Amino acid sequence: MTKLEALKKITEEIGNKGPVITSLGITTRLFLIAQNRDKPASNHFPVLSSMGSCLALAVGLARGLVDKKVTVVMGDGEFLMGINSFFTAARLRLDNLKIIVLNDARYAQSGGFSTAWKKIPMKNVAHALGFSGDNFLEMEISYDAKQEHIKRTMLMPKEVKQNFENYFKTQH
Amino acid sequence: MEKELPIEEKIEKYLKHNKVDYVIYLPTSKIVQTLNRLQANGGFEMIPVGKEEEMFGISAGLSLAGKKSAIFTQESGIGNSLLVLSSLIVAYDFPLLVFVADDRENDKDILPKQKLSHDMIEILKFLESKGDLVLHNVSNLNSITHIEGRNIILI
Repeated sequence: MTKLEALKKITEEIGNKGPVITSLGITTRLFLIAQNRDKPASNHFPVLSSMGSCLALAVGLARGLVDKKVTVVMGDGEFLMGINSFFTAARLRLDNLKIIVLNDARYAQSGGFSTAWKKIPMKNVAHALGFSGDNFLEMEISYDAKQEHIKRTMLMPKEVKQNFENYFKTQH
Repeated sequence: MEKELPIEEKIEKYLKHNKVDYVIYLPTSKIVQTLNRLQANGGFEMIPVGKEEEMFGISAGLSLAGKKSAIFTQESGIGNSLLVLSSLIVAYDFPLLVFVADDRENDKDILPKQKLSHDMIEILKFLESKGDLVLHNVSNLNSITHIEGRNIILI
């Protein structure tokens, strides 16, 4: 399965059911392509930079929104860089947070160098921390070097945040 | 003359007055009493983390959910958090309330730590000069009224 195919599948499953956070770079760009969008939908918050902060942001959002299911989608490099937040999420036992990691065991945007997940089974780590299929999903994907060249979309962070905050206003 | 409150009591009152419900922290010796008080007296949801930069992401996520939070860290935590501070908190214009234990006086015998502490305070001053945040001292806590801004408070 390619990253785009995985993101199309995720899009079909979650649709507009709740807030979605995506990690920077290719994951966000392909998520927009999977949705045929130039800009994020109002329930979508892309972390446009700040590598390693995606899961922390999702943890905070899920903690603050106990009655809503929050989904976070990230690559395995991003996941590794923010791995402390995996422990924090486990400690807080956030039942309303679904963590999805697209794992090609590579830094796909940075020359395809391998990540630690090439040698370490991610599912075992998740299991050891108490995550189940309800709140953690690893999707194994194929590595595609061409992904590095996918055109970037200029997104303005303040605009993205405003758009996302408006989504919540319509929900209350 | 009105008696000055202990710092931990002053902070607790300030947080409650400003309707801050979440306390995100990584303990350090200078803020132990404050954290103990916030934890023991109830009314706050305590979120412990493993590394400082996490706190800024969690704070931003809570803000998106419409919740107010305060971060407690030592000044070395600022060093660990410069990436997220710049590219998430400032870039997206998230509010921020951080209490930073200023250990410069206590770390005189640990030279690398002393250097780090001084450097971190200088970096905070630089960020303040760019308009990214406002630096305060805890003695002026009650004068911080713009809670929706980005405030760093030295303890």
